[in-house]
Amino acid sequence: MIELDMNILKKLCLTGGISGDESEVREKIIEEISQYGTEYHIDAMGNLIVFKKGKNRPLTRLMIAAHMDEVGMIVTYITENGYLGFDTVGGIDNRILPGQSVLIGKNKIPGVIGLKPIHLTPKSEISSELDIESLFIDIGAKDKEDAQKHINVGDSVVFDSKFDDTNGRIVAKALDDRAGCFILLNMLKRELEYDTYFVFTVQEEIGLRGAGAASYTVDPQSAIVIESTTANEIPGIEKHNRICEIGKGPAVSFMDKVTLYDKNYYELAMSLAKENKINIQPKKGVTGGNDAGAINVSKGVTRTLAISVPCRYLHTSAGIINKNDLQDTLKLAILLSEKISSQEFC
Amino acid sequence: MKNLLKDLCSIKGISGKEESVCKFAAEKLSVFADVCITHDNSVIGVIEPEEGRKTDKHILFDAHIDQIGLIVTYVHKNGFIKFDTCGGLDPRILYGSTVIVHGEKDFNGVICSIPPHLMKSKDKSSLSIDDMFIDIGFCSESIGEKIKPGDRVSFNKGFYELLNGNIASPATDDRSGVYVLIKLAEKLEKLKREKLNIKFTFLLSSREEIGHLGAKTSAYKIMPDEAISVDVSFAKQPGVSNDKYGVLGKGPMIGIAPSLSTKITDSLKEIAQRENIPHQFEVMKGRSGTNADSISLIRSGIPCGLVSIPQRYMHTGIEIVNCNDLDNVTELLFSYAKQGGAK
Repeated sequence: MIELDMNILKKLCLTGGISGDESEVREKIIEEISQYGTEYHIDAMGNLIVFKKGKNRPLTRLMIAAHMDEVGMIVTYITENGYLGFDTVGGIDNRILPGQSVLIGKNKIPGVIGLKPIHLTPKSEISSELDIESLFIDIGAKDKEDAQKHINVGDSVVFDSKFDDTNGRIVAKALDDRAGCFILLNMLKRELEYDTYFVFTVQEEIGLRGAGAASYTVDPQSAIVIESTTANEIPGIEKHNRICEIGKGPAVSFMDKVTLYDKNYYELAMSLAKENKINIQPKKGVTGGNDAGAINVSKGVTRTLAISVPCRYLHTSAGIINKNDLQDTLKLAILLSEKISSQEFC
Repeated sequence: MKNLLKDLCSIKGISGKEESVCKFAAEKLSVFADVCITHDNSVIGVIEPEEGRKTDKHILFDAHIDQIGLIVTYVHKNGFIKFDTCGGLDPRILYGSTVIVHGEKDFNGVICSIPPHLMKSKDKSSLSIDDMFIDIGFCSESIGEKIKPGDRVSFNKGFYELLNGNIASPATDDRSGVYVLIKLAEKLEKLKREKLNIKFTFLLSSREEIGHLGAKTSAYKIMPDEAISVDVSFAKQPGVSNDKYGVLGKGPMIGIAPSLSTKITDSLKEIAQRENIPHQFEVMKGRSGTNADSISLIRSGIPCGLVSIPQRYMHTGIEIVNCNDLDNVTELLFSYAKQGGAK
C-alpha cells in the first residue's frame, strides 16, 4: 500500500479548469510539486512540463502524461432577461444538464440550469430530445445589464458538485483526468530510479491539443498516458459492453479511436501486473481516445501506452472511481516507468 | 433571514418521511405558538387569545412541509438501486443528478441511465425512469441492511444565494411557505398582547406532493372558520413566458379560482392595495392544485384562499425563490390576520 493523500485529489477535483482555462489547476499542481524540489516550466500552450532526476540515467527517455482540463461549458450570450446561453466544452451529453448547479468565471458566480416545471410540460416534450438552445444558466440577474455586471461572454462554466471519498470510492467531478494528475503527483513525490519527464497537459477534451506540443518539446522515446476511462456496469448492460469495471484494476488500452498502442508495452503492462499481483484489465472496446493519439505522432513516432483508472459517468458532474484502482494504477505506473526506462530503446 | 430558510431547505423531508424537518420546524415554531406534531408528520402550532377572552374567529394558515424526491424500490447487491418518484418529477431532471440515499445513514449516489447506444427501447433520445438507477459506487454484502425498499432519496444540492436576493435550493417548494408561516407566527405572537379575539393555527402539512394527505387529516382536526394555503407557483422562466405566469421578485401571487373563496381573495386584494404590498394575480380555471383544493372540502366545507410565492424550476433540485417575495407574502398575511381575516 502506498499512502495516498485524498486531500490532494479533493483539491484537484474541486478546482475548475475547462479546456483552455486550466491555469487554476496548474497552480494547484505547482503548489504540490514545488515541495518535491523538481524543475518545471510552462510552455506556450500552458502545458506544465516537469523534469525530475532519478538515481540513474534512463536508457529510454520516458514521458508520463495526464491532462489538467475537464469538460464544462462556456457562456456564449446573455439574453435580454439576463439568462446565460451556453455551449458545452468537451463531450457532454446534454441530457445531464438540467438541474445542475454551476460556477461561472473567475469570481465563481453561482448559477443553475433549470427546466420547465413538469406541471407545464406536455408528455411529448418530456420524451423528446433536449436541445441545448432551450437550456439557460440562471444567476438570478434582473436583466441583461445586471448580468453583464457579473458575467462576460466567454466565461468558463464548471459543475459545482461535492467530493466524497468514503466507502472505498470517490464521487467527484473532473476525475477525468485529475485522477491521472494525482497519480503523476504521487510518482513525483517519490525518489525516482530514473530521470523522468512528467507533463500535465491542456486542451485534451477539445481534441488532444496540448499533448502534441508538450511531446514535441520533451521529445520522449516512450510515453505513458495516465487517464480515466469509461466503466459501464449499469444493470442490464452485458459484460461485453462494459468497457471496464471499477475495482478491477487499471484498464490498459490496446486500441481506441485515435491510437494503436505499442503491443510490446501492452503486454509488458499485463505481465508486470501479473508478476506483482496487481489487478489489471484490458479496456474492452475500441472507444474514446486520449493524449496518446497526439503524443504517438508528435515527433516521428513515440512508443505509447495508456493505463486508465476505471471511472463511471465520465464527463458528468459526478464520476465514480474506486480507491483500490488508484492504488493499483499508481503501482503499475511506477513499475512500468522503471522497466521502460531501464530498457535499451528499440 | 437566510439562515432559517437555509436550515429549512437543507433538512430533508421527502413526502411521508418528514420527521427530521418536522422536528426542526416545530422547535422554531414553538417559540411563538403551542406546537404539536401529528402522527402523520404534520406540525400544528396554535396562538390563542388569552384565557377568558372569547374567540370570534379561527383562521388556519397552511404550508406543506414535505418535498419531492425519490423512493427506493429495489437494491441490487452491486450497489445499483432501482427507484420510483415520490411526487411529480420529470425524468430529464434526474439523469446525471447527484443524490443522497437516506438509508441506515446517508449515502451519496449518482443517477445513471443505460446509454442510448445500448438502450433496447425504440426511442433512443428519450429518458425513462425504467432505464435509470441510482449508483452509490460500492458493493457490500450487507448493502441490503443499509438501504431498503421504501428509503427516500433527495437531491444532493446546496443552498445557492444568487444575485438580487434569489435563492436556488432543493425544497424551496414549499419550505419557503413554511418559513413564511414561522415568520408570521412570530409577528402574530407579539400581537396577542394587544388582545385580539382570533385564534390562529399554523399547519405545516405533510404529504402534499402525493395528494394533500396531511392537509386533509389535520384540517379535519383543526376545524378552522377559514384557511389560507401558502405554496409556490410558476414564475416566468425560459420556456414559461406567457404573461399569465408570475414574475420572480414582484410579490405574492394572489390566487383567483372558482375553487377558492371569493371573499378571502377579495380581502387579500384589498389589503395588498391598501398597504402597498407588491402583488400579482394568478388566475386558475378550476382547482388550484394546492392544499387549498383539499382543505376547502373538509367537513362541510371551509372557505379557502391561496397566496403563492413565485418560483422558477418547480420540482427540481434547484428551485428558485426570491427573498423579498417571502417578506411580502409574510406582510400580506400579517395584515390579513391583523384585520381579522376576510371582511
